[in-house]
Amino acid sequence: MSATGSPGCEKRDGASAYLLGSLPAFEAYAFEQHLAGCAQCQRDIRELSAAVDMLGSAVPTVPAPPELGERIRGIVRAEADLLHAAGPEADRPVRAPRARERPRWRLVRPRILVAATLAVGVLCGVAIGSSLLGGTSLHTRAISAEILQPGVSQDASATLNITGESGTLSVKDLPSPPAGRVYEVWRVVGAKKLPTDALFSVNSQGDGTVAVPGSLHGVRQILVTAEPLGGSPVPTRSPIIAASTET
Amino acid sequence: MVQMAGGDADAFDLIYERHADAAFSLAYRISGSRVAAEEVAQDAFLALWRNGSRYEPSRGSVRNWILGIVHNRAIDALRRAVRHESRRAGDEGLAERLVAPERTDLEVSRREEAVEVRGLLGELPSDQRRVIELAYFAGFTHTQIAEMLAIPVGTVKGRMRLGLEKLRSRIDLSSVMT
Repeated sequence: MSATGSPGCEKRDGASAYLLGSLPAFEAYAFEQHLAGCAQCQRDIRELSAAVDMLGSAVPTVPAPPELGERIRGIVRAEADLLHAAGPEADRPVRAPRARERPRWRLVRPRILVAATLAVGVLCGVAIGSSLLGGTSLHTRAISAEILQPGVSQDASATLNITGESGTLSVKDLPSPPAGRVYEVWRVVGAKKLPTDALFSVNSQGDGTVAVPGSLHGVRQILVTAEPLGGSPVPTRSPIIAASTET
Repeated sequence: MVQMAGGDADAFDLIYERHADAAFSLAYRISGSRVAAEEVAQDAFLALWRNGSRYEPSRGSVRNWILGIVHNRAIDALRRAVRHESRRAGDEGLAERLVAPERTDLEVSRREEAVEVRGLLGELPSDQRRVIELAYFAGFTHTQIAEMLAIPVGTVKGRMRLGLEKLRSRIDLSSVMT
């Protein structure tokens, strides 16, 4: 049956709005929940996505600035070099310093994070190479974040690793978000708390890692709050983690 | 993509070379600012590099996957900025171009395709085209569009669906005829 077939689902108009990105986060999340069990909406999504995909190609071409390519390639080369420096072991889970095994790095690409960790731990203070970042040496800063929420285990900790203008937040021994909530990362620029699409939870050991979207240029603090599933455009709860980028 | 997902920076270079202009163009069309478009495109390509292993060929082309990332991030950035009045990439803005790179046959073909898709979009009834453009390129939610056009939310969604169905059928027809 085509997308123009009999309207068996009252939410089928939501498929178009969803594909066009016009549903607010909470409605998009609700639609995704519905989609998982609705064959008709799944068909609509499959059939109409071809049209939406074409929209992205319909804009007049504006050549990407050469300096953008140089910047992106510099970051990629740097990360690839770190990855290669870490060697085959980078594919394997990191052995935790504690007695028990911890399945870490679940939420972002494992090998790059392992490589970044090794870079911090093994190569700390060493210039990685003049070829990185177009001739600039790569420097990773590991910043200990504050755990602000009362009642959280004293073992709980969080670290913001900053490489260039990119950041990754790792947490340990953090409790899972309350039921119906997810951890959301915020970027603080000036006095404004800007939401990100970085939503995360933790594993059974309370560990998790999430990449901070976008550049950290001009960002003075990274915060984490527990927000409704799907995220929130404004913080609805007090931060439980705060990491200053200015230290 | 497989090589890139394995950490091959040369493979990433190739993918960047092929899709950078399309990604930047879409980011620029949505954000209306070169600075914002660069940030979005950088964010999208680094996400591609770091999460390329999640790409599934069965769910579409690499190009569409990248443009999907760009679109999502550009709209997110746009909504965060909430500066609808100053972001339009009008014809004057689009005229602000750098020296065009060497045009390969493939690139020429893609530009022709873009013109064709714009033509197909232009053939839609104006009320359907309007809601699609406001949603996809301007980043408005369906409730904002309903308020803007003073029509019910259900009508907005209905027009979106009708417009996309027509667009899809015309794309199919176009591909059959060529």
